[in-house]
Amino acid sequence: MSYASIQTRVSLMIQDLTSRACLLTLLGFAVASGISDSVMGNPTGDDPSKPLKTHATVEEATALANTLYEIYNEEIIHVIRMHDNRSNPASFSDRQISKSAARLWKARRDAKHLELMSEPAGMDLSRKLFLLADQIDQFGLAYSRTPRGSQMMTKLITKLQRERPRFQKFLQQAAISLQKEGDPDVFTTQMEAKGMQMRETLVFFRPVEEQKHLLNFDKLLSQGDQRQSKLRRAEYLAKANEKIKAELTSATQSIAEIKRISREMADKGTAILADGKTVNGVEGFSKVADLWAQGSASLTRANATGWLMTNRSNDQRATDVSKLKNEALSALTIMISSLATNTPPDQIPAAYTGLLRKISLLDRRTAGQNQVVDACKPALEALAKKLPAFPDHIDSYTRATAEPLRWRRRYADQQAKNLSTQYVDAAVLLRSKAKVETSIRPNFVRSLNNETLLAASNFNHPADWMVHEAASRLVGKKVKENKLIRLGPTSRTGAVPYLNGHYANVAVSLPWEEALADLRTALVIDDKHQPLSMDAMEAISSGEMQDYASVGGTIQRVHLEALVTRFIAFPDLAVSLTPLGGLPLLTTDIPALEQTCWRLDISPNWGHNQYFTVRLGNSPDSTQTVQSAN
Amino acid sequence: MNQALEQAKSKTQSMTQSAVEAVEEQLPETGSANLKMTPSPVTISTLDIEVISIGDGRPNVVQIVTYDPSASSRSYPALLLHGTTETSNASGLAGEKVLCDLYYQATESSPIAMTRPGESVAVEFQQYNPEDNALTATIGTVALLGSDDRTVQIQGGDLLAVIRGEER
Repeated sequence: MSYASIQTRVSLMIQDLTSRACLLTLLGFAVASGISDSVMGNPTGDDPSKPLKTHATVEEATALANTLYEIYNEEIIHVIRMHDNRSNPASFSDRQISKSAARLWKARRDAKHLELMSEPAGMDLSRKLFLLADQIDQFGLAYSRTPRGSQMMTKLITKLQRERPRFQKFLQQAAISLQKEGDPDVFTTQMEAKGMQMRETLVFFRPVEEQKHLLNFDKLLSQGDQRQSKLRRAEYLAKANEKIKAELTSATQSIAEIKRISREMADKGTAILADGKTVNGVEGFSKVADLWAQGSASLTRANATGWLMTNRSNDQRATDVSKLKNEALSALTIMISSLATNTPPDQIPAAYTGLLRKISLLDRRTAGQNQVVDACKPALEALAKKLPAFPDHIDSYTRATAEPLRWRRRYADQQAKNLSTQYVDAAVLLRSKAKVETSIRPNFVRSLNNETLLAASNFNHPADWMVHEAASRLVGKKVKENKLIRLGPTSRTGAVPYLNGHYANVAVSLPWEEALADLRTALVIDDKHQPLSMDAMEAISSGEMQDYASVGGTIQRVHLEALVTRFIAFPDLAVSLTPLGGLPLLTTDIPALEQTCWRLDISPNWGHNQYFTVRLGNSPDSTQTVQSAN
Repeated sequence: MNQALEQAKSKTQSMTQSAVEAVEEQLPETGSANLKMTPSPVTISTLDIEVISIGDGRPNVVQIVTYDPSASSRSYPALLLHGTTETSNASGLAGEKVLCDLYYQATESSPIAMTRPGESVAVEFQQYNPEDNALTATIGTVALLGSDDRTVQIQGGDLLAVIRGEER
């Protein structure tokens, strides 16, 4: 292959990369609109062959990964076919073996490149391509021992000897290029072209023979790789650093905007938002909550990008998250206080209940217990006092509703306990072991007889086998998850936040209307009268939002994602996966790039709001059994 | 000798009875709830009623309890009747019918039963007795749903509820 033709190939590759990058940018928009993305996705039980998604901290990674997955998908067909015919190696096509060997040799190098880009897909591809290359090597040797293969070997040896001087000259030039520290990309491109050429031939030779013909090619290539890896690693770490910096800047901007809104609100009782809209304390409260969520998503992405560089959590990110939380909580109290100063007395009840609702919603989306509630309580009490009779109304309301709330809470707890009896905790199920009954492991891999983890914490096999074997044992199982947070008031999906290696998407489809209407009656709520206590508002707002303390359902689909990718390619809207004021944690004993993140799609059968339970289908039988009074 | 013993026993019983009656005369009324439940009726010897006025235009809340809501632990069997009324004090409820949610738990560890969503039980108040500051009432028949999904049937009941939190 001439230098010019190599250059043409490289330029075509770049064009291809660019067009793919454009397409992926468009798809990235689709990703940003929700947690899942059916187009790019990740491998699932239904479609295990989907590639592992890239986080694309190095943009070229996505196109490269897609190309390599295509190569794998094409080559495995040849390998499976040849393995089926392995008892008759004479039936093999020497041309196919040569082509596959060269292609796989290059693809394995590209997979290493992807690993250098800190892409979990790189490791998955390395694992997969190795399995294929190993088979092709065996087929090459087997073919060389057939009568037709022996004849071919004689010709190949003659060819290698004839080309040896030219090859030696190539190696000399390569050595000079290394010595003079020539362009590493050109060196690598030329060496890879030559390497593929050699591999086409040498796949039929035993390793010892192969080395004799390669002379010092491997040594030179290794030296070049070392040099280039160092350069590439530095370049990619710089990109990761840039990304972290951009995310931190974004989080800092969120904090700055929170502070600015707070100042204006404290000074004037209103604030002008970035879009020019003038808002009061109630709207300001929502804006601060949004900015907190945005900043939190930025810090989550920065934190996960940092995992690529250090393989461990960064304490500074936890400090950043804590700082953002403190600024947000402080601003929320300022919003409330500004209302105390600027709200006409007759509008205090409406402002108060409006805030209670927002506080309740935000508190459920925040890590820890009652963080938002506790922070806002003094300011809320001060607001209430601005209408002299209002604190008495609140006290009376609290007293009038405390007992039904207590009874209903205990009743719902008992119901949830009963409903849970047929449901296993999802995290426990994922970490349990069972035999694999069905597998898509190809014919050249021995089948599994022992029990394996249903959902491993690390990528220990090709991702497609892993997700298929997990899904075959998980789909249809009844599981219980804690804390379901709806993505938005109109969203049809709720998220079970990420914890201990998995998260879940749950369809919002439980019939909640009757239970909520009954609760509203019990809490003396109508269109003109809203809950006045935090407990009552928590009951109502979680019911309206369809946030649940726990949920039981049937696993419909299993997805396998890489943990780092999940939280680097993390849309703002997915903030429910990591409660505000928190960060996802790495498992300490597994390298970050190898950590899995399982996603379960669950169809809910029942939900446990803290104050009621709802369930699909059969409601409790009202006539069958009579309970003893004692 | 046997006859003497019987006479002594009878005398002791009579004295004890008199002493109990004397004490009861001095003690204030504690109220009671008699619920016709299966397999046997349930009597609870404490019952308080309170009408809580919220004051912001909502209806007032009628709360009838067999336990002290401010205590850290409850007495069992425990019963709560909770409904709304336009009447602002408990004594004024005489002659009124109030639809209530009913919550019942026999023991601390038994399943709680309550009115089904959208359903209620009628509490009909009859007389107000100013001496005891208490109201008599009856409750209608209701099928409660237990937290274990079983039905708990109450075939009505009689209440004597002492008014709390109001000046006589």
